[in-house]
Amino acid sequence: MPVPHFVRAASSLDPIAHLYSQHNGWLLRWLRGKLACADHAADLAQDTFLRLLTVPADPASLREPRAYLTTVAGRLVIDHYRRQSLMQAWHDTLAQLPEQFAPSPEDRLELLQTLERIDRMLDGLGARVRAAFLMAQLDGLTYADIGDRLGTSERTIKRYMVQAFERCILCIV
Amino acid sequence: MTSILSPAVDPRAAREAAQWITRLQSAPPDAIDHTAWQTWRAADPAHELAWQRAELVMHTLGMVPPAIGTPVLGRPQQGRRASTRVLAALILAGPAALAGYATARAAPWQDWFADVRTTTGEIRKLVLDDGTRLALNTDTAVAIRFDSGTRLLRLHHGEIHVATATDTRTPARPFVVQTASGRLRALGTEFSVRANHGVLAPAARVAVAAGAVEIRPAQAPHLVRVIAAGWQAGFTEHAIEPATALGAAGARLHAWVNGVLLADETPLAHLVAELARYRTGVLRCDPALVNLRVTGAFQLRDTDNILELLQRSLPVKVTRRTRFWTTLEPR
Repeated sequence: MPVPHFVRAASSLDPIAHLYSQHNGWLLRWLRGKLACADHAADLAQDTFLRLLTVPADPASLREPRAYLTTVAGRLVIDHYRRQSLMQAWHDTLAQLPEQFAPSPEDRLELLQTLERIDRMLDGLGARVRAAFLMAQLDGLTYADIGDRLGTSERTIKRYMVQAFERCILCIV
Repeated sequence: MTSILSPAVDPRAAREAAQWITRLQSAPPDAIDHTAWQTWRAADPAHELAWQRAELVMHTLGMVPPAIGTPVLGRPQQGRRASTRVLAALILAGPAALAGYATARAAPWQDWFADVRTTTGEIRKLVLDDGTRLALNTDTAVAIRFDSGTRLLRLHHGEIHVATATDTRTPARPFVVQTASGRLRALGTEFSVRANHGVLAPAARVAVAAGAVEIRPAQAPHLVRVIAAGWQAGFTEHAIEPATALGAAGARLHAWVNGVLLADETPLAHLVAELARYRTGVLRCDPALVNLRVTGAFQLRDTDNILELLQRSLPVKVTRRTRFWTTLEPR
């Protein structure tokens, strides 16, 4: 029996919908194993497929959809935990900040978004590189001072800075 | 991650831009080859794009107050082979943070165009070509550009006090102070301007002692407003705060011109933040002390001596952990 025309059209025009129906089930189960909250798992499964819509995938990767989807979803899980720890640190910091240093309520949202941007940009840098970068760019310490604190040479700190700036320049959005 | 709106940066150009920015930050200004840097920028549109991204990175980082950015962004990273020792060190450094005001946050590549600058702790007074008196507070950089149409003072960072003179030329040229957040036009006047990195954007504050000053935010020039003598107002590139009366604070705000820091029932935290501007390194105040009140007139020439005075007159002790790390703690 010939395949009805509209079915073939739908599956070729909309490979994402096809992927979704084939793979949403196991992806959701896989995500539930990684996250405590079932709602978050469902959100991240959605986000995984959304990512396929917004970032054009390499056709080769779609030949191995399971591997590809786990990679994308895995990245989203890491991102989820990263954001969660950012929020935690944000709340802790605001709670401890003397009143006169606290940002006004209307500034908070924008500041949090800026922090989130920077956090994403720095994600994946080594701990020492990140620490050195923040000491220089936020606290205004000199490279020599940072070298002293991290027990390394100014030359190494310079190398760290180049590495961090390079990443930021490539990643900033 | 790139999107349609932001074209991808060439990896090699990104690497080179990163090397330039690092060099510009770390080398002494006179050791930097500006021509080579400008030549690199102009050599390829890919270089310029990478450089613009670098500036965007610096701008984004500059929007974060250290008191918040350091603990939030420097939190221990999960799930990575993080060197916890290093991060612990950073968290300890976090409160430095409270010294946010204490550390210089200049975008160093702006400084070279400045004609006059002061180092941390230095106060400098000069008389300009037209007779205008200009004072530069600690860690300040200005470029003075007088031409046939305008008397322009560009405040890159820091704080200045200006007492304008009637122009020697006819027709008289307007006297303008340009900051990152907007343009100020002096209307026969004496005033001070302080540019700082606000919580979210470059911000500045103008306090008018005589005459009046017109503010025009950089991104919202239609919001023009005139601030009269005895008033002050903060502004960003997008908005102007409602002006507030200076009252007794007027004398305090301008006292630095004479090398004096005036306190009148001032919370210790404010005084320390103010003092920190005149010192290199970190000066912080234990959170338990921030609400102690201080009254007095202090000579800014010797901030160590001020700390000594505070130690003698208040229940605080000054602890110096290193040359760059000073803390006021409860005694």
